[in-house]
Amino acid sequence: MRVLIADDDADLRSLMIVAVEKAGYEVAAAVGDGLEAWHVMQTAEVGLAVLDVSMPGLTGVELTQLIRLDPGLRTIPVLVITANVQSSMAESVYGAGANGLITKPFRVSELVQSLHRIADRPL
Amino acid sequence: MALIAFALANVVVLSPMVVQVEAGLVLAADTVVVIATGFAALLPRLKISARWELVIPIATIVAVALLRVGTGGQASPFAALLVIPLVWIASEPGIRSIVIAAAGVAVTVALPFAVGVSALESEADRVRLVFTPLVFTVAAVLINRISRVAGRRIEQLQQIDAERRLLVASLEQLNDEALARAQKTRKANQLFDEVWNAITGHAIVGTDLTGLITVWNPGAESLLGYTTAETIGRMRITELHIGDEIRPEFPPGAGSDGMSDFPSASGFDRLVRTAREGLRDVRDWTYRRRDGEEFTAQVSIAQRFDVAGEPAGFIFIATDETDAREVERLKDEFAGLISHELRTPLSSILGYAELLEDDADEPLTDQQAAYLGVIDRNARRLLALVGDLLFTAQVDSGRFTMEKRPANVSAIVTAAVESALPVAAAARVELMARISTPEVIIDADPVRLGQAVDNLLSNAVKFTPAGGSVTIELEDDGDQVRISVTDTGFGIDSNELHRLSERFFRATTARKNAVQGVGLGLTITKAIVNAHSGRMDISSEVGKGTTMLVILPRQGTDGQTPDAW
Repeated sequence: MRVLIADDDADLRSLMIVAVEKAGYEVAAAVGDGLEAWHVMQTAEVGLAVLDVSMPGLTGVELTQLIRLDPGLRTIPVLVITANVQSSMAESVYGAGANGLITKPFRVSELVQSLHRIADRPL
Repeated sequence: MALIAFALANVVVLSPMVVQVEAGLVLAADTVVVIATGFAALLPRLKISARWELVIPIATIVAVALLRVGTGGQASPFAALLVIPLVWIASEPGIRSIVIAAAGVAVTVALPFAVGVSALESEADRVRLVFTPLVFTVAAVLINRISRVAGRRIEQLQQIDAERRLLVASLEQLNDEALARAQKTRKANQLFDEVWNAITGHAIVGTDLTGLITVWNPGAESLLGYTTAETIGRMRITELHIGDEIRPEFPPGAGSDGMSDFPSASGFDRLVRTAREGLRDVRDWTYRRRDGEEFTAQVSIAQRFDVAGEPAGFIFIATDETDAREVERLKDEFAGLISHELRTPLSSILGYAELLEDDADEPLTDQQAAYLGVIDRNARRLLALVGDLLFTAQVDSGRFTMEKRPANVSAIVTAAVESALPVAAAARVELMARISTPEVIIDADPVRLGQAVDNLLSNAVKFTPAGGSVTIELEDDGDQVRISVTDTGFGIDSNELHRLSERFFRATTARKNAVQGVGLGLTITKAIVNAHSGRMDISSEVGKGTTMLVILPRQGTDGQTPDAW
């Protein structure tokens, strides 16, 4: 399974790479920009997306919406990460079609578990 | 007067013509007159009865009598001088003055005969002796009467004059009062104008009962862009509102309010419905400026009444809420930003610490593990603080959401005690729980309520020195659920109790004893308790300890009682 990581914080991206590898998956790309993430998904083969909400270019929520509208990508599991702990954020994340939501800060083990969970879940 | 007459008489006496003169008597007469005149001059200054005035004419009669005797008695040409004192005396009121006048005349006429200067030579003399005083007496009676009538007239005139003066005085007073009132009114008007023109931040708009604008203040000019001339009597308040908000609930024409004759009357009806019932109506409406720009205004609507107390129209006071909304939005944005900007680096700190800790290939030494533990613990403290800040920002902006459902308070308290036990043990504080019933169900947000109980317990443990104890009790008396947390800690000064719910306030005892914290815990706890329509009580004694009591009503969310502190 090839995983796309999108977060504008480089340190967190590295941490997520570790988590993805711990989960036993391959990192397709790790980018810091929403638009760049969208381009990667159009060109590279991506089986799962881990998206931060607050990013330049496109937000994680907007990206999720685009993914769900794209015939080629719509079945890809999406895990959204956000620093916003308000319930309204959870509503918009799931409303956009995400499969899972993790709030910052998260434990590496928590991310690993979530990756396993959504990767296994048929849409 | 008598003096002048006597001066003339002396001129006559001294002139070479006439009569035989007895100089001694003439001199005596003159002397009497001079003395009488002197007395008359002095009289106003002598504080004696007005009756003494009569002395003057009586003296004058005496002087005339002497003069007559001294200038030939019966033949003397000066009998006419008698008229002067006679009129004087007779004009004094009362029969007594007539008697005095008559007696005086009789004596004067009779004196020459009595002293032998003249003799009763003929019948005519005798007749004159009787007749002259008689005529003079009749004259005196007439004078007395005329004088009395004239006196009354004068009295009446004086009375009328006094009344006139009173009238004038009261008119003047009325005039003064009217002037004062006019000035007061002018001052009040001036003050009103000043205030009216100074209100530029609020639009004050008055309408009649149909919504036609009748009052338009400078604030309305600047806020809405229309001038007074453009609006008064020309525009309706509904024209300032955007259509969607005041669209009538029934289509025009179908309205049963009987006011569909007026353009947008139904919309207006909707606008003033609450105010018409005499209720306070303050809410947000969207107004459209002259230039088409729309803005949110907080509008207070009240009914106006005429002098007779009949409804005359409505008053709208609108405040531009744009700035307030912007501040609110910025605050939210700031809270979100802070939350994001702090949580992201904290994620890295905690995540990498976790990686180090869990690295199976390179296990940590005990010391390294301990250091990592410090990093982890402090990162979590920062994280809790971020959460608290975000929470208070939500409480401030009124967007603090509660998800209430039937929740078991016993379970919430038990969970809070369990999570506080390790901290209490580390601080060597005994933690005891007295929970009366295993199941106490109320309508509550269990997460928030748990946070409140956590805060109370962690505060109590933090404020209690090693060896002390913290007791939490849960009681359910049917109507309300009481959670009390009692510690044997440092206590709080009574002067500071009322400030405990202030954000970032830290009690002196907390600072003195180096208790960690920023002063948000109780603010949050109180906000949560308030949101459950509950209240908090606190009692404390420095050196003895503190009891925090939370009372949650079992039923209802209204009728919140203000806290005692």
